[in-house]
Amino acid sequence: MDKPVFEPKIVAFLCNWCSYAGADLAGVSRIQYPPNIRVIRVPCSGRINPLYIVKALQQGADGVLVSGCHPGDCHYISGNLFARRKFALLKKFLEQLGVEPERIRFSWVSAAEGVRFAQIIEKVTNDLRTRGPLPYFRKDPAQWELPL
Amino acid sequence: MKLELESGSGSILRREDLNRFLNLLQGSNDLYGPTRVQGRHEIRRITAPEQLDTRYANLAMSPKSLFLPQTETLFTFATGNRKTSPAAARAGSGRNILFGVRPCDAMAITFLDRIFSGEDYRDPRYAARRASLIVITLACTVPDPTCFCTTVDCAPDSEIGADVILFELPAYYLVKPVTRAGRDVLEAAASLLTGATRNDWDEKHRSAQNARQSLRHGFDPNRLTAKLGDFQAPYWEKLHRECLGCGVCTYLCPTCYCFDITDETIKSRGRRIRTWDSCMFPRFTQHASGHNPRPTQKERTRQRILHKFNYALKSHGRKLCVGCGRCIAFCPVGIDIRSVLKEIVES
Amino acid sequence: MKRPATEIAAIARELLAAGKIDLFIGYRQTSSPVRTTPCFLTPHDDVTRLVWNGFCSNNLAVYLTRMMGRKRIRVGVVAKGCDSRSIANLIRENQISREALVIVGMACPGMLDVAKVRAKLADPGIEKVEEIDGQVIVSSKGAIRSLARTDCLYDGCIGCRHPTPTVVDRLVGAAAPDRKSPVLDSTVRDFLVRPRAERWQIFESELAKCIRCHACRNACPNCYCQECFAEQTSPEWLSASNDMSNTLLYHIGRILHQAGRCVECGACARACPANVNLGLFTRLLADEVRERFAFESGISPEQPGLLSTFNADDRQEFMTEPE
Repeated sequence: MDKPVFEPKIVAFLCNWCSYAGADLAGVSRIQYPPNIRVIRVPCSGRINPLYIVKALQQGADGVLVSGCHPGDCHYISGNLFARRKFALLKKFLEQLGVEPERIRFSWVSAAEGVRFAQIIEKVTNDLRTRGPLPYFRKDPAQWELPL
Repeated sequence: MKLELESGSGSILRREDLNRFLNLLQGSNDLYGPTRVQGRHEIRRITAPEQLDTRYANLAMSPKSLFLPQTETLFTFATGNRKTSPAAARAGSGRNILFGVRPCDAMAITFLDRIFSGEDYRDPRYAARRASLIVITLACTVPDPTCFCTTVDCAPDSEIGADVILFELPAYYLVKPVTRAGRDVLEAAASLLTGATRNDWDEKHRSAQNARQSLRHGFDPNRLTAKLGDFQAPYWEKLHRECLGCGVCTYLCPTCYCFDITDETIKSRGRRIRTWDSCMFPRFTQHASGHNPRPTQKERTRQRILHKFNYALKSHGRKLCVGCGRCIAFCPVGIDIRSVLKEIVES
Repeated sequence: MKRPATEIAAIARELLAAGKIDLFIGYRQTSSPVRTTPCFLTPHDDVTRLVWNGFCSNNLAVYLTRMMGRKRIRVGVVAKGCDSRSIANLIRENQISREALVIVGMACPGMLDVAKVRAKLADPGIEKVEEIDGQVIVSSKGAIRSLARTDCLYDGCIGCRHPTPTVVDRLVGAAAPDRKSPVLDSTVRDFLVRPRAERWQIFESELAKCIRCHACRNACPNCYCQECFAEQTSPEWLSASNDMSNTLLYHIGRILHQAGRCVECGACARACPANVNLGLFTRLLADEVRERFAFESGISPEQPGLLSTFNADDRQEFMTEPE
């Protein structure tokens, strides 16, 4: 009997106007992609507080994806351009501290790119399947009974 | 040989026998003692003799976290099962040894006892931890410039709070049991102890006197109480300005015990925790309505000083300070409580 | 040549007497020769208490938001290079008013790390310290030792790029040139070459010492929020417990909130009572900001904020593309 494959939990923050619509298009087009993502719809990728990403990892996510409109196409003109700076620093900082960079992902997906969305999810999920659960940082109830 | 362990006579322990002495006392239990960690001295569980290091005036962190941990689980709960599981009051593995506590910190433990294991209230977890630790005080010979124990009714050779006390003399330690529990535990190390003489005690008194004399008072404690009666005194306006409200003084203070009780949850599970809190934090007195009776650092600094040097005197008969000097040494902006109190006395 | 302390006192006296400021903030000595404490002077207070020496490490800008926030008072403040950059950042963020400030800038030779000084002595007790011509002369238990100043500086001061204040009204001492060459702290370099798992190990083991007193936050001039994210209950980012998960989140969050704002003054690391090597982790982010965006906080009160601006061609090599 095969060992069960580890299925990562991925939290996906998708901007309402582009990426969420792109994910929706993938669904309507019956494109298959791994069911590991838990979607959180936000108005714009610029809305995302970097701490949401960190908190998601703490609360049990094995990986986080943030996806927004392509630069120049943001529904709010420039939200994604502010977001790009924040994410660059967040990703680099956590990577320097020792978090695997493949656990924190950013992408641009437009409303017309159902196929692209599915491909990105496929890629991210397959990669995380090989990495296993996040080995540290998690809030762990097992540690709540403190020794003397 | 039957050891004369009557109080007052004491025993001699050769300095090189300290490790063996502690191992004999520890038996099959745990030994917590001072060790050097990145240039500072902290209490850790000692598992190898070379860890032990007694070259310090005082430990960086007070030993209060052994009795009152920074975070303590009171009980755990989970949705769906409608039950709360109280965190077990660990009896610990028999009698563990806590060695290396200075007289100021040992006295501070007795203050905590009054709060957490006193007449009004007994915290079972605190009591269990307390009961499982034998306190071996290491008396002081060379105080730090920040020490001021004698100003607040403590002393470099105070025996309060100790089960056993060791006085450090040039060639050896003078060992004295202080409580019955201390006397009992010393039996295990009787083979290393020889009887002390009158000369040994004279030397100890001389050493303690030297230590006392090197301590600066900083302020006149006898005039302090009267001066602290005025809640609206003008000096409160100025005394708080440097204070960042960071809470380091309260967290490091061996007698500070204020705590907060909150819940921590993850998904369907949770625990209720008691954590250290500080009167220097704005949230300490924040009401749910949004009102805060101590809205600025002035009110909070006033409260800390009054609690420690006025209210505690009235409630417990003692100032809530043992003069360990950690608040002076670790204040990020160099506030010296002695100077603050001196300014109040002389105002 | 006037001693700097005398010059500072003269300026303070002049400003207070002329009614140009309501409050002067400088340093005064404590009972210890290796510690100073902030000194607040109002008119009629004794300005001769003011000192200037290698132990004036506190960043006094931290008091400005509190002092100047609601009350419309005018403040004179002593500022080293790093302190002035904090001030520039606070002005840029509209927290304090430039017009209500008189900045007495000090050309800073770097501050002395007492732990480093003590480590070079046979006895940690220090009775007297004098700083003369690049040497630190320490009297300890009757013995006198002369130490090279450069051997006793704080790690953060060694790599300082801007020892001369960037925004200043009166400069005391000769302006030193900025150090443009990347004097990268060797501890940061050493950290980054380690394998990934080891880096996280180091991060965790350093932060295991944290007792969640928040002194780092309170000492930081940039942390002026009335309600810190660490204390928010709705949403609750972290609980009060000091287990690793919460402690890590607190520090990651606080350092991220400094992105593009941190001036690397080292106040957080010095404030920590538990000896957590905060400077290492704050400098990681500051270095990345410099490297990726060629940006440094606090150079001018008029400069744009890092995260409140963008460039159309900001690097995005980190984005994920399908195969």
